[in-house]
Amino acid sequence: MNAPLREQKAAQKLMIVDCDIHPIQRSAKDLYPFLSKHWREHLETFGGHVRQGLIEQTMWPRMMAAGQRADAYPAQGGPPGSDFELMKRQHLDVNGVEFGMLVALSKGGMEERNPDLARALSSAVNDWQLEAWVKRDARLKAGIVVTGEDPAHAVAEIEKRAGDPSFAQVILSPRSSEPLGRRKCWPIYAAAVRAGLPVGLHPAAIPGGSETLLVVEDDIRVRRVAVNRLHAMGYEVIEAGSGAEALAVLEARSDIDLLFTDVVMPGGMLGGELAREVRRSRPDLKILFTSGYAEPGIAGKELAETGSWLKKPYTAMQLAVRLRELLDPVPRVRA
Amino acid sequence: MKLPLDGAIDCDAHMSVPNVAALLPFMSDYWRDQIVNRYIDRAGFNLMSYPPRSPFTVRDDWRPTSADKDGLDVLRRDLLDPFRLSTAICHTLHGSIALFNEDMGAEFCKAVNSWVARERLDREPRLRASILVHAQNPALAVEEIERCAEDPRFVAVLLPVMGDNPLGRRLYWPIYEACERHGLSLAVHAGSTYRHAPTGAGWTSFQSEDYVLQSSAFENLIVSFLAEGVFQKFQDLKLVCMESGFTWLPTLIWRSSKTWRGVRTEVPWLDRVPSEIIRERIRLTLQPVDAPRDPKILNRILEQIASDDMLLFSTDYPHSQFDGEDVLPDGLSDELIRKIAIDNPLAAFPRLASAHAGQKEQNRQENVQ
Repeated sequence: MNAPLREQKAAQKLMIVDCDIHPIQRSAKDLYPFLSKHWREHLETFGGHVRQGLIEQTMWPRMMAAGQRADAYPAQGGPPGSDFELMKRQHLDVNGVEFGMLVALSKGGMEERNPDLARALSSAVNDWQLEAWVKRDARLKAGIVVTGEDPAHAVAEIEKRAGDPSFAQVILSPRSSEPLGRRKCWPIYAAAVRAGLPVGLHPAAIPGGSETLLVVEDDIRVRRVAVNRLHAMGYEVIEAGSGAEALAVLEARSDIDLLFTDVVMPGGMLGGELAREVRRSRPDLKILFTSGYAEPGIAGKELAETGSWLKKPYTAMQLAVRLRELLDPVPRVRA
Repeated sequence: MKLPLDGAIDCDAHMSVPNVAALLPFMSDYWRDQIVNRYIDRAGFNLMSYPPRSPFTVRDDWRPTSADKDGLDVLRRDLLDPFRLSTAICHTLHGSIALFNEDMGAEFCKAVNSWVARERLDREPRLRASILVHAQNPALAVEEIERCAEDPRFVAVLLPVMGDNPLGRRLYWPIYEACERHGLSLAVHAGSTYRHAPTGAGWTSFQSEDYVLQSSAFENLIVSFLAEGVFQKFQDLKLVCMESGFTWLPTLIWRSSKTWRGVRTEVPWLDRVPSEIIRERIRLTLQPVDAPRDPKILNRILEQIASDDMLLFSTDYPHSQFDGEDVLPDGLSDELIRKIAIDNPLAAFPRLASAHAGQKEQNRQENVQ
């Protein structure tokens, strides 16, 4: 190699194309904006149904930190690969990633046995890749997740995305119920060829977990109703009867995703004060206030800045919607 | 209808370990490190056969709320007290039986059994339990049976009806030999580790489909036990089908007997007509009752089964099989109810009687002292 070229190369930073980056939902609920009510309820009630014996675990539990780099776990909870800012800081920027190929393994319906749910999940996870990842960072390229069990839908999904340069490949799981060379799968490959896209094969994994809420309410009957509703919606729920109790819970557990608190409570600490205390140790914690009073100003500055407010009495639906608004922030499109 | 008597023995109730953390104290240092460092303790261990939020897996009014701090209090409140049970045999269908790593699976089973003894059996004298084993490695399973067998409150060994191989195969015989040696019954429960598709023709689509198919898995089990000669080899082994349903049994009795008459030379050890062996050696738990509500139809099926000894009372708690406390189908005679609720369970689980006797002996000695 001639010296001038070598010097010129050395002056440039070598950029890379990372062909296997795994974005993941914090929980199935991240896909809800892209699923119909029917499938949201189905997931809440039955969950997925795949060809393995366990629900939340893989059949071969991985080694240290579930096979993920321990420092890739987001501080605010959720699995590694679920926090765009962390991925950007930890990987895309420092490793000079010019293009990052997303391979969205989880909950894309690739190995789902219910054929209609598989269709819904496949479309949802492709929409989700655009909204939650590609629109935030043009370096990232989505992969069209399709199921090999359902070639007709796979073809439709590929054709739907074919003109969009945000998608760079088709993703299939090699753990199909029949070998992928079978002729029934050939239409998928024909569609990929027509779209000018390569087909990437990656086994899908089954992750677990869902959000955990801390409910603070001094009236035990009101609390019971709220807790039962939240359980029915599929959340993990921790209860506290006062601000002090809630602080003790938050000190002991790092897995609380959202604080749902009454504004006015006896025992010395109002909801707003509780929120300010909480903010010191958990600045990112989502907070939803509730109060029978019309005036939410009682929660003060805290509420105006980061919280959300729900007036009592509220319906189960109002509560459900407000929680999802807080837990599923709409990704901002970057200029 | 409701149970008309006190002191029934529930042969199929379920309890669950609250989380992996509860099991860590019962594991070796090595496995405790592995489970924590690999983050295996950060997710649940539910079997795909029993999705935890499904309305079938837990009956609506039996779903604990976060106010229920102690699972045992819930079990007393919802099961032991309202049904006025003398005994409930509880089975813990922990997902670890589906793991491919048989050392990890065996350690989980050991921890589950230890947890059951400490946190449930020690605290509630009405409870009995089955020994959870990881059947992929029968030698490790036998080790665990030997470890638990000293405790008379373990009355059976628990296996899922759909695992790696047909359960009659000889590789599993060391497990049955250990059962026989210790007077433990073999409790085979509905559920799959999904090593294979739940049908011989491949993978099904729906959860409800898989559940209906459980009864065909029990037919496979019985045919396998008959054909492999398990009942001849282990004359004292008692096989109990749990959550199997029973309305399908008459056709299996007829079909296996008819086929045996024609081609029994292939399995020369099968020295009696299968109908006799099935009636003598196989027991089935009551719930789910699949028969229509008309007592005439149910009684027709019972006549075809032609044995009062085979059914064992069960609630299948907390699975959703019936409403309220109407755990019995209508139309059973008082005499049959008594057999189903008390006599048949005592015969099917010999350790129940000896544990009762042991308890009486202990009480007597305490009184003497």
